[in-house]
Amino acid sequence: MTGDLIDSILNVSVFAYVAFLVWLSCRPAP
Amino acid sequence: MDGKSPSALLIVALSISATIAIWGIIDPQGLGSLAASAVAKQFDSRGWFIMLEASGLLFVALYLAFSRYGDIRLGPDTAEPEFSTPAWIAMLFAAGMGVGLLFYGAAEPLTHFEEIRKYTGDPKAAEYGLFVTYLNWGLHAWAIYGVVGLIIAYFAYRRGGSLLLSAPLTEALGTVWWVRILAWIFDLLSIVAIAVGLAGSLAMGVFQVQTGLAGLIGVSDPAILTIPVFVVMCIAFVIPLRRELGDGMAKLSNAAMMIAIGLLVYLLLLGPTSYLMNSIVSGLGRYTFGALPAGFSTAEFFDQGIVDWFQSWTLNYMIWWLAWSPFVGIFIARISRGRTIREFLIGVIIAPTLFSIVWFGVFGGLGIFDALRQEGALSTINNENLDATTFALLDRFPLSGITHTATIVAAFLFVVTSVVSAGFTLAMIGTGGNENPSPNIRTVWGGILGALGLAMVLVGDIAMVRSIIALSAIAFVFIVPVLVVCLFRSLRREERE
Repeated sequence: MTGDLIDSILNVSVFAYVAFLVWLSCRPAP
Repeated sequence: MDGKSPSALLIVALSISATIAIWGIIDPQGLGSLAASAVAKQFDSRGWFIMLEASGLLFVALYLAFSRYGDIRLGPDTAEPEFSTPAWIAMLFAAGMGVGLLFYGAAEPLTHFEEIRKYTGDPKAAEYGLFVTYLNWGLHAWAIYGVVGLIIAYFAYRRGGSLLLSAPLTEALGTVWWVRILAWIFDLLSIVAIAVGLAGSLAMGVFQVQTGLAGLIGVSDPAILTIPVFVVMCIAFVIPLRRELGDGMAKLSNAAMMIAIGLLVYLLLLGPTSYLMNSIVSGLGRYTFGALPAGFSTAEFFDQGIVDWFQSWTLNYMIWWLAWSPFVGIFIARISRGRTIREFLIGVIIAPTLFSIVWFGVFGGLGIFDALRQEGALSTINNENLDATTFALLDRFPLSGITHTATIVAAFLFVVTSVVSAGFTLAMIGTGGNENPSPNIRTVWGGILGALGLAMVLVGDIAMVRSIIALSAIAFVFIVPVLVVCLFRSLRREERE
């Protein structure tokens, strides 16, 4: 049942990327 | 030197492309197997995200087409489309046709059919064989091209930027230091993805032409023709690259498309027409109502054989479309100035998808007809060598000498015109968006594309070639959503202005 830890971290870091996208879209206009 | 100047971009891009080429020429198997294992790891772990993104882009396209943003024109409000709608649609077909359709027309549905029939009955395997091919070449593929093309066109023609992938970033997010770095990286990665993707296409063209030629002149081992065919192709694209990109290339590309359409009509008329029409119509129905849920499938609950098959086809295709999205996106942006977002997206997504459905319905339908209603010899050939399937299919019809030659000529023209166009695009990006890059820079890019193509040809195995393309483009999985965010930011800003 246990997966590769590094791989799991990479997969979860996709959510950090999504958070980055949300942050980008909410930034004030230049 | 400013680290972000176009000339630095050009040098770094040329160096990376040349390094991959030299590596591939010295150790093709090493490069191929490294790419295959790296890509397999990514597909195993990030497959879910790739499928989610492909489906997400289709939803983005549908939303933009049918929302109020659909009325926005890709150019000033008074701009008129440069090309008539039929001419525009013909050009979209040409962009989507390429050598891939000739190569995979019969081979891909037949491969899926053979794989799926291990698990289920023949009729279901035939239905799914066509369905999966439509999924791989249909709405999702064109949504990826369409959204990237739309972003390029919007920022170039509506917002007055360049045709580069960096333009949306700097326009929507400003020019602070990290945006400039990101923009530079986007341009660099798009150059590498275009160069490697087109080199893969060149290799595919060489494989197809050598197999066809070997059959035509009676050579038993097509591999001995590899280098002569490759050299002739290189000579054929370097000459037009040195000259101005005029009507000539467009005419050759149209000629290739007419040959391909001629083959399609010929096979439809001489083949089991009603069987083929039935398979197209039922395939269209299944695809229309099954495409959206299937776009989210990851084959997770099936055994390893199906998972591997899914990863090496559907997932690989989605990455493949992302790899070519900067190249095709720039092309479709350039021919779509003056159209509204709605017109653009409906045209770009629906027209080529319908064409693919008919194309694979005929070529794939004939392959499946052979497997179900005849002795199934095509499947045997297909299992041995995918390059040979189209020619083996043509052998079953009259005038096969003519159709063989026509296929070889069309494959040759598709590859040469795409490489010439890619050479121009690469030179344009490398010089910071100059739409008339100097002949010397274009020739250098032609040389790099040739060297990369040679590396791919030496790798020899089409599955490994696909892995190298996928690896070069994996970054686009993360680049394209950033571009979508930039588009929405600018659309909202335009609404407020």
